[in-house]
Amino acid sequence: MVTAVSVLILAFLAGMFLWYWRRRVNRPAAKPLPVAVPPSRDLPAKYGKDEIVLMVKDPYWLYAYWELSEAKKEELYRRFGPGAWENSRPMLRVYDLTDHPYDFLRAPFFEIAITDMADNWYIHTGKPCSTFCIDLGRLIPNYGFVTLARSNIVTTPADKPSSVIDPLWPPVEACWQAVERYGKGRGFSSSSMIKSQS
Amino acid sequence: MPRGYVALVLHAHLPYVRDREDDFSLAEKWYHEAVTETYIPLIYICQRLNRDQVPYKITISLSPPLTAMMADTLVQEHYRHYLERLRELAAREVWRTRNDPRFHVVARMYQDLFEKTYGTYLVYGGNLINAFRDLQDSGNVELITCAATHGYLPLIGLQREVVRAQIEVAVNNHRRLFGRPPAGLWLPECAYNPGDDAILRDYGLKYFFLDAHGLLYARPRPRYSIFAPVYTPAGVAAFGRDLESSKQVWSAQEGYPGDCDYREFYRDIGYDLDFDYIKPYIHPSGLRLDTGMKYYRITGKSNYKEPYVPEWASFKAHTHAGNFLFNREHQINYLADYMDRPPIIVCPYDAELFGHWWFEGPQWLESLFRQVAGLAHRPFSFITPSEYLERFPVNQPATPCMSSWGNNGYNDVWLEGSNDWIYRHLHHAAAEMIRLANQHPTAEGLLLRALNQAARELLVAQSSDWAFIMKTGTMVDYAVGRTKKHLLNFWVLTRSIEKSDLDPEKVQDLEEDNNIFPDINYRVFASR
Repeated sequence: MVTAVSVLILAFLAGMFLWYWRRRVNRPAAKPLPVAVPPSRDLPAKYGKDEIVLMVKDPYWLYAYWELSEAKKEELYRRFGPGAWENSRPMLRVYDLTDHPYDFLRAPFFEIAITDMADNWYIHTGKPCSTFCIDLGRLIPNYGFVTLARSNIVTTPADKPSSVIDPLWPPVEACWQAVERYGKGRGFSSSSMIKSQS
Repeated sequence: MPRGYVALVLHAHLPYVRDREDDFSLAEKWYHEAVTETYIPLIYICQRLNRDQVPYKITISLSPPLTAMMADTLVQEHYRHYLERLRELAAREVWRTRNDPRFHVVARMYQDLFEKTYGTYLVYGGNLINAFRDLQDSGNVELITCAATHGYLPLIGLQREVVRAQIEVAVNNHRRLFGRPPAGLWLPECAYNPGDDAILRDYGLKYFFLDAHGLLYARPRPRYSIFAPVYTPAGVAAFGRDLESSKQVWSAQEGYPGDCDYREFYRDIGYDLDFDYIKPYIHPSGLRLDTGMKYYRITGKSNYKEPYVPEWASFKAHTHAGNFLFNREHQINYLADYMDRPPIIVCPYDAELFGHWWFEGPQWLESLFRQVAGLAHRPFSFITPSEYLERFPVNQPATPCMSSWGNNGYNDVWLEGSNDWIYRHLHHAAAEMIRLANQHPTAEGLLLRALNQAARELLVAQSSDWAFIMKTGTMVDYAVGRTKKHLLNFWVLTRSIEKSDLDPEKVQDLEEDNNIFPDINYRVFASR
């Protein structure tokens, strides 16, 4: 009986050893983390501002991030009474200023209902070569839209060759035909050293 | 006058990965590998062409973080250790493979390469800046710069001061290291935002590069599409990347680097050999890594690989250079028939493609220059953008389109779900840096050092590389950690500045940890 147990224990230990050995040899190529930032040190969630910042992603999409301070909430209570924040809905109002530069009263706009949890949003405009500005605000019942912060103004890029021709520099058709069969944005970007580590 | 011109442009860049704490940092290894496989081979090629008086022209963009690492004594020392280990491994490999001629010849090739690399490294006292400066002075190599820390200007440039600081620091760094101002600038990721050209002009930069559609979608429509530069509203020349030639070299399907005779990148003895044998040459923790010694050729699409045959690979590099030459000649002949000036074909590539990814890339490049020089009928000439602009000073005025050379051609890669969170923090830190620079026009002593260090931390946090790594999904923790670390350092410094309780030891510690741009002046962030 004792012998059998000893043999079992020995076999188990040998198995452990072999397993460990194999594991050591075939250690997977996991990546260690050369830079560790302790969780106690993290970037601030807010910077105490009332602002919305607008950025261009591509000809059809914008990106906005924002934050509002407690003071702005208080301001809303003062203007519209207690519960004004809770009873209103957060909205983004996207102005298309392309044909009405800086004219917010005449510029067409559309609105996006957002949530109080959100602090950033991707916005589909579908409009290349257009100029946009966004108001972050709230829809107050029986009153309407109230602007809390207004963004910077951005312009989306073109997605095709311009129809504007300089009469002094009329396009040479052969030069344009030579590039027609190649699409744009091949995705051959930089940082190939980093890509290679994958 | 030649029928046309070809401008070869290599953009060399790595983020600032100097690691004071760890002499075996995985990130710093990117730099070690690129020096061995790309930068020193590039230096050889140019030296050999100069020696043989082969007419050639090449434009090399050396990013400021890269040059800062080349010039840093600690990085130089780390690299020397790396290369010494590699030489030792190569010597052991030559012995280990002595009875297998298939692998022995490859091991000998590596040994020869590493010994030559070591020799070159010692000749320049470990400082490759000296080597590039020599090449620049030879007249065939035009060195240009890039934004200070390869910041993605259309996204970090919410404030004009940020773009200005990225450009001014880069130009000053270039002038200090290479003894003359850069003629042009490689926009990080070719990312152009209309209006940034005015800042380039203010620093005497005469040209930059765009991806093809950045120029094709310019307004008004460019007369010669991408075969001549345009002048932006600020009067800076914008050159467009040629699509046909980039596809020939880059394309995963039909590009040269995928040829079956070329070296297989993904089979490295760091993974293949017995653990106890290879242990001294991989990570000290036992983590298996690429050593740089790879014995197989691409062979085919399957996992089955055959041994690498150096002569076959060299022959292919030569053949592919001939093919590239043939295609450019045809392209130029066709265009020249219709154009009222010689076309320029702009071929920009990541430098690290040549040698690191595409092991035979440097041979291809040298062969290309030699073959063109050897042809009696001179189908085209190589040229730098500066020389082109001297010969053709009159160019069409147009406003190029916001664009980049990333996937989809706009800002998509650097602004998406994985990395969009960084911009809020980068913009706020930049606003604070600008405010402090305006508030302290003449800081001195410890305050000056703290402000300068805050500028360094902000600039490194702005590197486009971190957002790029977050997007690619490998080593994400490293990129997130670097972004947070530099921003947190920035806020520690700026809060101490605000409270006037700067700790000299803390400032010194941060200076030693991140010492990029020793001569930086925080006033680059001041509003003007």
